Amino acid sequence: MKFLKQVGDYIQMNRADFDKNLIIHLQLSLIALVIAIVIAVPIGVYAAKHAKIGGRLIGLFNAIRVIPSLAILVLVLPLMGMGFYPALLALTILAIPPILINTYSGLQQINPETLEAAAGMGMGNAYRLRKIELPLAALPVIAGVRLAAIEVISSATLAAFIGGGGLGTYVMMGMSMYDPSIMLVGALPVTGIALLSELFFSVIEFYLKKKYGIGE
Amino acid sequence: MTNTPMIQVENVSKRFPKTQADAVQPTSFTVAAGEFITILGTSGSGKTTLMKMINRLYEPTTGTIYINGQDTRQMDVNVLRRRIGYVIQQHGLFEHWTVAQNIATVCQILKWDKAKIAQRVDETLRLVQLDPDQYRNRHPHQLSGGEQQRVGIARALAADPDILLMDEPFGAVDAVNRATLQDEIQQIQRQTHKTIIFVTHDIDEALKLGDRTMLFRSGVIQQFATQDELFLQPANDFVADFLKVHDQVTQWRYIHAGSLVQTWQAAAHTPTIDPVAADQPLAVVVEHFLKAPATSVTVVDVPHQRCGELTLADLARLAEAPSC
Ligand SMILES: Nc1ncnc2c1ncn2[C@@H]1O[C@H](COP(=O)(O)OP(=O)(O)O)[C@@H](O)[C@H]1O
Ligand SMILES: [Mg+2]
Repeated sequence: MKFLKQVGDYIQMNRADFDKNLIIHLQLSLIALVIAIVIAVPIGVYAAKHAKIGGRLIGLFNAIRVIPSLAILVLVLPLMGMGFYPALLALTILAIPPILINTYSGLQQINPETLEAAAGMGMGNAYRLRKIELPLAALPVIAGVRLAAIEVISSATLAAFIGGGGLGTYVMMGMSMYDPSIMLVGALPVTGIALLSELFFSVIEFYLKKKYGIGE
Repeated sequence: MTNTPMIQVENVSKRFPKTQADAVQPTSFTVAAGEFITILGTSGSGKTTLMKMINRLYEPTTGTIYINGQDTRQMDVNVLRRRIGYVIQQHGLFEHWTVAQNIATVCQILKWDKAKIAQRVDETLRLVQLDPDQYRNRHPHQLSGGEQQRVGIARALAADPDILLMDEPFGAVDAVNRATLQDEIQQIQRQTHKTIIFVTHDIDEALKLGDRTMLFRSGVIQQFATQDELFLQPANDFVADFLKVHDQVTQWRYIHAGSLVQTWQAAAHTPTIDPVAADQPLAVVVEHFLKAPATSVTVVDVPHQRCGELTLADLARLAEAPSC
């Protein structure tokens, strides 16, 4: 409780600075996520449609997934230096694998007979992808985005280490000053954003399931 | 009245890449408009392959298929498919769509207007004996196996195609429901006069539904004929063995009374009490003999307005001298 009050006081006193870091954190997370979706979904579709290359691509991205977030952040340093954009790149790289892999497996799970029925009724490839395949893969894809979002929101905290700013700034500051309450100024809002993101995706999944008549 | 067959298959064969033999060897046959034919054969005999060449899900390795006289290869493949209803055994329905959306699939592709689609959905649901109000907003997983197949049939009929291709459509349905569905598809065919090609590995189903049945084996047509022809003039030993045409019980069950009558008389001649219809199986004739011993039983052929007599000797001849 004592900590909470100190956190509140700190935020009150450094309002402008806090808001700036909060916005950077949200921007980093959101932009990285959007870019990752734009990149990962088409590659996932491509991988699912081309069995041979697809398998290898998925193997590659599974490997990327194993690299710790901090390592990726540090690895972009020599390439791009410090700042917002290197952090954005690192976060995007982090967000791609879960979305890509779920898009791929979501499409793979569709029964081939369903696809043949669609083709047999005279759907062109693009129409079938849009109306049948992507909607049928939507739940796994969203689950992937949800995972990626959590990963990005928490890893964005580390962006501060490479000068990207964001709420991680307070974690770093608190650590160097041995002041846990300042660390919490960063950590608590990050937790809150993560929870909100989970809530957001739960709602989307709920409505989608309702639309598809699942669990009725 | 035109003489162009609805479907004409000419020397069509299929060899899959990296395989040693043709899945379907060069095959020719025609199907008339409004005909209901069944393709019967064991698993792996090439039935599905043959059927999928008709809507070009598989492209023939050799030969040509004409629909209404038109070479299917000259047609846009998707335009062709939208004109051919296609029903498969399972997993054919789109799980994320309601029954109504599923049925409207081809109408949507063809951009029919909303009101017309809604009306057509209800019409086809009624055709397959499902109450529109109760079913149109359900999802496929909220339906029984039999109901799913009904929706599959409704979907295939929605855009009013001339041809219906059905690949073991009732294969995953229990026996009781299967019999009902068989009666229904027969009824639908009489109502709509679709040309139907129906693949099955079930002898009963093939014979019950088909105006003609094509017996298929290792990619080769063994015989393509009516039920009576298959039993009275089996083309080879395989046909005879597969259908057990020399088995007395089988004969009584499948051969129609009319096909054994040797001399017909105009029906003006008043039939005796309790005649047998020409399209009844011989079993009914046998039953008549058993119930009331007589020298002969009268067979009436209502469509042709004629009648004839069958004696015990006619039945006995069938048992002695298999015509093969
Ligand atoms: N896409 C395919 N690639 C290679 N071989 C196939 C393919 N589809 C079917 N076959 C082969 O062709 C033969 C006939 O198969 P199919 O037409 O499915 O038989 P049926 O429908 O009578 O059970 C089988 O030996 C099967 O293994
Ligand atoms: Mg088959």
